Amino acid sequence: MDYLISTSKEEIKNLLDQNTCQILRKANEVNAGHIGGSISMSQFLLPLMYFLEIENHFEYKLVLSKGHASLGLYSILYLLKINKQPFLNYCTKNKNSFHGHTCSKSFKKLLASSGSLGHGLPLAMGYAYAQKLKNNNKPVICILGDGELQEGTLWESLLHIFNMQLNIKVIVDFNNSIETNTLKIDDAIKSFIEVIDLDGTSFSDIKKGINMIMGKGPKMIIFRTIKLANVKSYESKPQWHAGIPNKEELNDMLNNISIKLED
Amino acid sequence: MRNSILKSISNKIPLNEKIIVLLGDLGIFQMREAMKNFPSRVINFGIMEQTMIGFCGGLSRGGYYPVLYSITPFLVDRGYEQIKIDLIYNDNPCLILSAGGSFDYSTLGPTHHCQHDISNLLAVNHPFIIHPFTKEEAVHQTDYSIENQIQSYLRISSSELNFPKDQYHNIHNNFDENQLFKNDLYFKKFRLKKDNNKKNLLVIFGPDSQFFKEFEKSLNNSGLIIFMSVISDKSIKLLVSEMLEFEEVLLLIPYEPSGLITKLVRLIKQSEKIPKKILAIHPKNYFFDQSYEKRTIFEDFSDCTKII
Repeated sequence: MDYLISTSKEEIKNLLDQNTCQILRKANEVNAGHIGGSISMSQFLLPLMYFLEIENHFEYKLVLSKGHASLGLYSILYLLKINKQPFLNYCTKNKNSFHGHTCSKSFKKLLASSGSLGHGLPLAMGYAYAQKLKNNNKPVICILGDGELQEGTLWESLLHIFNMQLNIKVIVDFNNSIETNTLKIDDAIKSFIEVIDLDGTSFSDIKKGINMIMGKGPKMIIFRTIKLANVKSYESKPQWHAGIPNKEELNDMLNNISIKLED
Repeated sequence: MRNSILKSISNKIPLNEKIIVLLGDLGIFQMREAMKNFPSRVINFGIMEQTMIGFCGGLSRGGYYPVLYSITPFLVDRGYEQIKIDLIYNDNPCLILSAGGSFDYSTLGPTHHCQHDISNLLAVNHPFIIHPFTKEEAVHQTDYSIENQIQSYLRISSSELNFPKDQYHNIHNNFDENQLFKNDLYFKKFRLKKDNNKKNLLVIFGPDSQFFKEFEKSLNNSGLIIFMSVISDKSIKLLVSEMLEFEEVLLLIPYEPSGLITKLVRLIKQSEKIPKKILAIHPKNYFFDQSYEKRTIFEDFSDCTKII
């Protein structure tokens, strides 16, 4: 069965534009946040969550193993009116503040607070196994970064996930975060398991990814994304992994946003 | 102690469908029947402790009570961050059965020694740490953890306490021996039958305490002996209230003691009347890079830390 995202490409582009602006503004306002990975992840997570949450009210669980991208998740939760509080209270001095890594109380479908790389997949796997024992087939979506693929727990988990046939969808935000790295981690994974390799800037690829997520059994999807995507002349620069734009840089970034979303 | 615990758990698996046992390639022989009869709930997860602990976190979040069994340094050293984040911080209760704490594998060298497990777990707020003195107590403590599905770390020792019970009055039990699993177990108190006017207190933390040179002598010279089986906020509070009644206190701590001492001092400092002298005997913090008998390490390589 094919699942269709009914929202138009233009509407998603518009949401991505708003999302990018508010992530940059928030990071500048609170002087915190990992903007590079938050924006790269949003390229596929925003349309995905629009489909799952707004269009389909779908039941699933989420683990944001790259927990430093919390600002991206909180921004999407705000934009889609799922929960505005995490974004509004992100790194504030309020009593109800949310710190810089992902907190499970931000979203009821989140399985865990996260931030240490390599923790998400084993935990997602344990939860998926528990669901399998209960004959519940709702998927667990686990989002990793490409740098995180080097963690030993990823490889250990893959040994079990496919053997146990767990309903886990592993999504990799492959933004080439470790650009000086000589490891060909994507090739290594592909020699180990079947991987669906998609373009995170292609609307049709994102739709393909959504269909993979809605299918049964374990799947690993790589979304090729761009760190600080859509902010011309700032893209793919390692200093924007955790760098915070000052006022001048912020204004320049905001003036240089151009959302690319191919057909 | 290991066999008794694993046998007890094997018996519980058919009765309690929440239990899932994960073996870190250890205890396969003892659990073979349970593995055969309940293959989806008794799993040899393999030699991947960090992933196994994370998996436990997910199982726990999914409504099960995982029981995890492996060797102390591989669990607590290698999987420390997973215990901290996936179990404690994310509040996913699990029973860790940890075999070989301190120097149970004394002859195998530093890779297999782990005397800092309890201190390290206290440092990340592990709420319930157990080091039972006997196999009967170990089984009761296991039952208690499973029954109440609490975050629990049980240090299985290769030793049991050799204690001349007949020479002592068991003056206090804060639990009903017949309903152990309904109570959290703090400590037992014993007083010497003869000559019980002494003003000093002896506290022993787990069965390996008996290997310190000071053990025998202190048994006969102490007005009261407390057996601490559980380290929790509640048990430490109770212990401190007992300590304040004495002039001298000797703590026999058969592991790296800093986490425990920090907790004790924090509470003692809040009191007006405090003992004149508190000493802790504990092993030296060495890499014991030769083949030692366990008893030798405790007898010949102990330190004395003066707390007050």
